[in-house]
Amino acid sequence: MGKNHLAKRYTDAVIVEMQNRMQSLETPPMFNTLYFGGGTPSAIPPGQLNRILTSAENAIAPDAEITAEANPNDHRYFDKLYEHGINRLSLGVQAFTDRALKALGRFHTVSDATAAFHAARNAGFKNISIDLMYGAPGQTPGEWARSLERAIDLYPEHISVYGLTIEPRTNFARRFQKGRLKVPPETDQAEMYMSAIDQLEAAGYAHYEISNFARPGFASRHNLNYWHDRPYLGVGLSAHSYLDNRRSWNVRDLATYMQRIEATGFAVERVEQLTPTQHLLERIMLGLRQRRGLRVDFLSHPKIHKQYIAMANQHLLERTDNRVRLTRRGLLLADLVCSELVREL
Amino acid sequence: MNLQNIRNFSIIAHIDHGKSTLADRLLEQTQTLNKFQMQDQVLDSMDLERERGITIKSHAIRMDYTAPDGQIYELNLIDTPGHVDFSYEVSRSLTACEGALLLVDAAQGVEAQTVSNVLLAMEHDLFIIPVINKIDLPGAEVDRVVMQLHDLLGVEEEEIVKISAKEGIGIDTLLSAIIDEIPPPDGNPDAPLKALIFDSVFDQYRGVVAYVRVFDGVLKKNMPIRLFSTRQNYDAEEIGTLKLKRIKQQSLSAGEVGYLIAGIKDLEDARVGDTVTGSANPAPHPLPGYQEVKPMVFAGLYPVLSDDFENLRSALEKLHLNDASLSYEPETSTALGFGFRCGFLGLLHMEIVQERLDREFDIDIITTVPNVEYSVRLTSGEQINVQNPAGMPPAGNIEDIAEPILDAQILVPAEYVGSIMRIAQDRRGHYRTTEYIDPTRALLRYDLPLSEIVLDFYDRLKSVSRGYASFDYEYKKHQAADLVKLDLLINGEPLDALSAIVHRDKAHEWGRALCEKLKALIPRQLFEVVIQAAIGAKVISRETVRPFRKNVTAKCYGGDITRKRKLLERQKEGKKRMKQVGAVEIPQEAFLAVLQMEV
Repeated sequence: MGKNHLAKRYTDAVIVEMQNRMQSLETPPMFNTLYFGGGTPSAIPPGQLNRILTSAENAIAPDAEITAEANPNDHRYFDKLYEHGINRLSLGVQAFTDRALKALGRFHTVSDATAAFHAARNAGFKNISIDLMYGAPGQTPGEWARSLERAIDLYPEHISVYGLTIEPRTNFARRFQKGRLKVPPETDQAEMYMSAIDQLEAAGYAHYEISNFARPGFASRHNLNYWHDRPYLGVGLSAHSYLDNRRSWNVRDLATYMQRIEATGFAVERVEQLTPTQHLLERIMLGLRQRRGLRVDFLSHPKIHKQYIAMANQHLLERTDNRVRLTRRGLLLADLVCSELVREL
Repeated sequence: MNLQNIRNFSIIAHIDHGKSTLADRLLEQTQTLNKFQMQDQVLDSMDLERERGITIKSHAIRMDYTAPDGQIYELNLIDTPGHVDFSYEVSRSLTACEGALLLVDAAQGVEAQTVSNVLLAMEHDLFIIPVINKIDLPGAEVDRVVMQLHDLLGVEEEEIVKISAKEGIGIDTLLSAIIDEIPPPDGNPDAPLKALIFDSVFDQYRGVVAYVRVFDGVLKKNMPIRLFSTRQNYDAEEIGTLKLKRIKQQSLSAGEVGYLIAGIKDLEDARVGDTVTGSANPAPHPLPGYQEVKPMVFAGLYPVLSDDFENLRSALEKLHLNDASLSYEPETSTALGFGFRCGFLGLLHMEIVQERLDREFDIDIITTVPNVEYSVRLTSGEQINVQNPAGMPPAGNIEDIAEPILDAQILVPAEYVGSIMRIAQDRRGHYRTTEYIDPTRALLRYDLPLSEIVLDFYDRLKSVSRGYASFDYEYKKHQAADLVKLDLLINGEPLDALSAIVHRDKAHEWGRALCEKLKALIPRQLFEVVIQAAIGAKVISRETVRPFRKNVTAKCYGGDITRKRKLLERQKEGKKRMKQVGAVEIPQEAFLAVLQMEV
């Protein structure tokens, strides 16, 4: 089976699933944001994305934020994407030094990335996000600062900054375990993260979530939707949904996904109804990741308050008006703070 | 039954030499149990006993045997616990017998426990029938074992019975030897009642069931009886003999073995070694040799989840009902919260209790490092016993600390004598004698502090001798030594559960090893964790666990939310199992670390 044929068959399945899922909702939905994640245009061609958009036309708000993920090497698709109604592009650049790109195993160069950014602008994109990654093997704080400067020079509307995460069972993880991969020491990684916050804030980017920065008015509406505990519908392979206080996710295997859709119209692997405690846990976890923090009343919960006071005394949490947020030191230790905060829950 | 036709005997053997299998075979051969009723190792009734191949409780079973001459004999097999922890029970069981089968594995030969069992049997004037078992095994070295038995007992080859309990070879010969060689009991049925309690078990419907051997007089159903040690009076509600089940009888006379149910509520009131007499016509003196069994090894038992404290209490109560030698008292630890200080007869006894808590009651527990009981003389002249290192008074108030010393026997092939001596030296052993029980095997005797064997001594012996060394001991005395209390501090706060009493010469090494081990086990936290070992105010070792500088998940979108929430839920459960000292979280493994320390 050819790649294009497979992309078409997959898209068919996604459209079927989307229509079935929308029909099973109590009220017809109106989507304010759409996000094409996971697959890049080289995997799912713009024509197929367009079929999905067209099939949901009546359910998409006129001013919806519609994002597609792309790699710099996908630049030849940008015109088409824009033409089909995608209005936000998330570019997986990762670094603006060729050394770091190579260390991360990327196939593009700094000049490819720069050219891709300009190509996106030329295609018409007025909302571009760049993904950067700190902590690449062999990276120094100085090199990272140069990467950031180059990104800021391009002045995208949005920048995401991720620390390198070594996912288990990947090639990276195996090399790391064998000691063939030297990632920067934790103190350097902490310094890189802090310097990113300083550099980006100085350049006019608001730090609105642990890993996300935006010029005024360009915070990702799609991602805020996740963090504000609002419902979302995910369709396609391993897509997650959050509807009626239930989290569900689709099967992870492509063949299974298509068979299930073709046979039954649905491909949900599991549904979990959140208990009140689980719901609270998620709201705290997501609230803490946002720079505006959590409403203070969450922390007056009898099983949380004591830990909150302890964290505040250790200068990991701070109060701003009626909200509580991580301090700068707290940002670096966000996972520990969160797990400590909810330990009695 | 005519006394002349009664034989009371036990089987004494080293672990794994086939005692339970031989018992099975005797039961089968005497048709006490038919094939249908047989299951392997009938007498080991606890699962734990079968699995570990050891006998924990004493048992008794009566076999009616028709000898080739047509006469019917009553053979009472009194099975003894197979471990040094229970040596007092062994000695009481042996008291109930006139003879013993000394069972030796044809491949393994005589072991330290065999020697000490022989000495014990001789002390009780038992007639010993030497038996070589497993003669069918390819590795059997019958001639060598014959030589060893000759050296040990002075017996000639023809006096030794050679069998294979597994294959049923030689069992008839053995039964004839039991009848011909072991003397029948003597005793005066007309004298006032004297019966020895050699074991007791708890029946949830009937209360205490005491296993008794009548020495004088007759124990009759419904007669008023008295126990010597407690001076309590009871009625003999039910008496009988023991087969696989209890068989009711009207009376038990001098020389006979059986059971007694007398409305005794608590095992502690029917202590092993006590004498039963009649209330109406009491014997003037009890049978000799009664001692109160005292725990030798102590440890704190704490629930992993503090909510389990009441469950632990009720589990210990239940275990205690069946095992009066287990002692427990509530105690608190700053690190571990509420728990119990438990006293055990020895390390095996401790392991058994731990395992039963886990299996029968499903309670996760943390056991602190086992320790011994110290006898401490204070400067005020007062004498106190300390069972928990955390409770040791400040050094300034102490005149001296005495620790329990064992009379230890180690039997080892000659080529390992050097390595064994080095271990014994390391463990502060005081050398006494060496005897060769045959040209290749030496019996070393040491005075050895009990505290030095509670951690991995036996494993070390086994590993340096490729498994050939065997070891046995008995308590000898308390003796003063230069002991100090070593405290472990976490960010300046004492972790009381890891305090230890150690010899001054070993304190540095112990402190260093403990700090290193904990460094590896305490997870990094928000702040630096300083681990120190100290004697009084003097720090002798120090390690630090560096704090996290960065611990933050990069991405948290759609599907990441569920994954992250599940991780938080797991961490939450993990934290419930952690113990806290000040602000520092200590995983439960840290409390067990000491048990795996190579010092």
